[in-house]
Amino acid sequence: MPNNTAIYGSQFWMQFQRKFVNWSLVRKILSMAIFILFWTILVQFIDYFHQIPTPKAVFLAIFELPVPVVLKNIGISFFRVLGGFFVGVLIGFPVGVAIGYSRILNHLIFPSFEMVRPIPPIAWIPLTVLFFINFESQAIFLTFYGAFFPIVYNTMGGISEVDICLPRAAMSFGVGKKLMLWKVILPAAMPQVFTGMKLAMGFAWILVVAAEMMSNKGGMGYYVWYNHAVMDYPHVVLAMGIIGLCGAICSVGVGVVGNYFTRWQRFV
Amino acid sequence: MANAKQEALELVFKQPTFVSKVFSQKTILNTISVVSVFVVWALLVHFQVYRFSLLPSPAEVLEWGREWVTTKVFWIDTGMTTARVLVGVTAAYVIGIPLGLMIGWKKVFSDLSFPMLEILRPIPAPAYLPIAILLLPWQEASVAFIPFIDALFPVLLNTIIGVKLIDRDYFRAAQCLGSSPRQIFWHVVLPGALPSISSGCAIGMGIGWMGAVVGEMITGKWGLGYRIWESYILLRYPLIIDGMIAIGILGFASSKLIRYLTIRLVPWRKAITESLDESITK
Amino acid sequence: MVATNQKSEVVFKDVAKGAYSKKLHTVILKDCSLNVEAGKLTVLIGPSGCGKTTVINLIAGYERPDHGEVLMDGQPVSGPNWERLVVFQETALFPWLTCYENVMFGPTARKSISREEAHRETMMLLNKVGLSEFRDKYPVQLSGGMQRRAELARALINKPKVMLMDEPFRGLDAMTRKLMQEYYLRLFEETGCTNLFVTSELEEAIILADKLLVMTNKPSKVRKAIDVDLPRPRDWSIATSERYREIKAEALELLHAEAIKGSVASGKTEIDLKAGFEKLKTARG
Repeated sequence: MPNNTAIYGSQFWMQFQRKFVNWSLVRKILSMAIFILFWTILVQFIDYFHQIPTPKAVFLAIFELPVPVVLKNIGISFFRVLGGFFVGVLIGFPVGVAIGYSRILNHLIFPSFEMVRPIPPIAWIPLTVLFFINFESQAIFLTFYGAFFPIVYNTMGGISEVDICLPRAAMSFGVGKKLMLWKVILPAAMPQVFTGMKLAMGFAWILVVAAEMMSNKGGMGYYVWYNHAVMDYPHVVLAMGIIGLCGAICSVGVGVVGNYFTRWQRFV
Repeated sequence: MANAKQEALELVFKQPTFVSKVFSQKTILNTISVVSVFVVWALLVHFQVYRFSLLPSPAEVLEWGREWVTTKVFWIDTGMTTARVLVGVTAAYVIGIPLGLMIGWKKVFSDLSFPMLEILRPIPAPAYLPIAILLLPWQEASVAFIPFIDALFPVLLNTIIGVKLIDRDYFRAAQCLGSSPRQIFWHVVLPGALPSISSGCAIGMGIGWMGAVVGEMITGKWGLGYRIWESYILLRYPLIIDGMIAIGILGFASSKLIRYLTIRLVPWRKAITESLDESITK
Repeated sequence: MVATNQKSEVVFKDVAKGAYSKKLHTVILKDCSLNVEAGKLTVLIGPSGCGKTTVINLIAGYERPDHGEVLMDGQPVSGPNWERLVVFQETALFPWLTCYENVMFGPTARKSISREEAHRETMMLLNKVGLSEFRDKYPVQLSGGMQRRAELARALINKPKVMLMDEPFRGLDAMTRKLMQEYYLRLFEETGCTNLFVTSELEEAIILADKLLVMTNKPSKVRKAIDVDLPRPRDWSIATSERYREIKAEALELLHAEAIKGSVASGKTEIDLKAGFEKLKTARG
């Protein structure tokens, strides 16, 4: 009898595990705990890292956060990123469609793009300062420039990789050249267009942070650099986290819009 | 009759002549495209449209550039930037590829490291600069941290995707043939992911240059990025453009080199590497 | 029903077609003359890579012949048109449209009939191919057989004069394939429009065909036209009949000869392929 219950007990435990313990989640939480522990130990016991704030200090810094200032800076950065991004979409998407769809335009435009593209967008900062008088337009130009090429290249790639059968079938059904773009080519290229937009959003954030770090016109990049200058490192780490969060929100936003436009892909 | 016509037709198609190649529509349009950039630039400067009057003309840029290349400063700057990119990007390869392989292959690894990576990934590389300066207090080294961060995530994500895309049947086949986990790693996971890794490496290299320039512009004392910034402050405008061109050429050449080397490693899936590239890169 | 009264025929006259790329130039079709008879189901069969798809593309108007003429009812084919519709090898349903929207695509794109009428016909066709329950599913959610049926419906709603089937049942599993063949037979016997069916599988070819065109290796042309005079309506029980076996043996011999030529051309094998072929020949006398 006791033997039996033991067996029953172990079976019960196994079923319980299977039903209620999500090992994947446990490991994920565990990994975070280990990370924080490791960080603390590193900072506390190894002299070399003593300047780096402990997790505890970062956590406590949350309560000292000058909320209105940070919110204002977040707003400024968001404005610059989204402004540049939307201009990038408005210009980059049609250009990508044009050079993806028309072979002549491709031959005419693509080589000059290839020539300019290897220059890192950041290196344009001095020239943008020459061209645009106020900082907002400079920052928006930079984020636009960062977003432009990912969008153009992915739109073009998406269009050139459409399965030839689809436009052929549409042609047979009597779809003309103009309607072809709307009815067949663009829907088929949509997934890759949104891959490009996600990348573009990432680049826009990198550029905005870099540009803000180099000037004193506000924004989260400036906030990080300011705290670095006054050696308030817990706030530096906190600000990094906030920037990361903002970037993640933007990327998720693009993802949600993308999912709407490519909803048929959900079932693949 | 019909046959003779067809034979003639085949022959015509078999030999595109040299002249037809050079004067094909494509080459003509491409030449127009490249030349027009310089022509438009020169015209805008010449007629002083809007603020283009501030910009140096192509001729000036060429002249300054020629002089600059002969100076010692240019070579030190170039060497400095190249060294930073190489150190940073190589570190990203050394850490990113094995980590990515393990994350893609074993669920346990992915669970243990993915949450952290997901938190760190959206933070733009320049934001790491204060931490880099704390960790590596000597200035010139701390800059290398930015290309490292910039290159790490493309390399890592491409590696993970590469492993995930390997056909499950390859693993089963290897198991059926009696492979140990170690053999599976070396003979299935690594070669299977190589095409994707190779494109990740090329992308990482490209972005690495951007990272180095950012770092140098913000806190360097040497390097091409710093030289651009200095030229801007000292109002030596032609040098700004020369610096941009130098970085562009170096970045382009290094990306091409990586691609060339890695494609030699994965001759069996060249086509796939190229198409993946296009979908993942900018 | 969806049957068209007007029946069209397609004629190839001495057609030649090459493929030209930077390094490799091949002649795919040469001196190719064939005849797709009106209201009949013609099956094109040949070794793989012999240019069967090129024939389809030429009739559909996606490609132009380098030499010779492709005529439909005496008029040269000038471009893609809904009179000649293709059911592609891999599915060419638009993945971003539901099953229903895919079938509606042709009529709404052309605005040839009113929306209500198009809707009625779509529902009727979906019913007929047994997909009315799946009308709001995306193609990726359908099984292989369902995708093919949806594609058939999408083509039929346009009332084509010629249906071009480019190995449409390739990649389906054996059972589904058999069902689809019978299904397609019913549909053909009901509509009676001109059909050209391309396949590389002999059993499928014979069970479907009114006329079997056997193609040669590249540069290919029609080697022989075999009349398949099996009674209609047909089903798979016909495979046991004497006539079926005769036709099969004849076609097999032709195909086997072409296949061996192809394999000898493309690489040596240690296995003697000729032996089986000789045996087949002697068995037939």
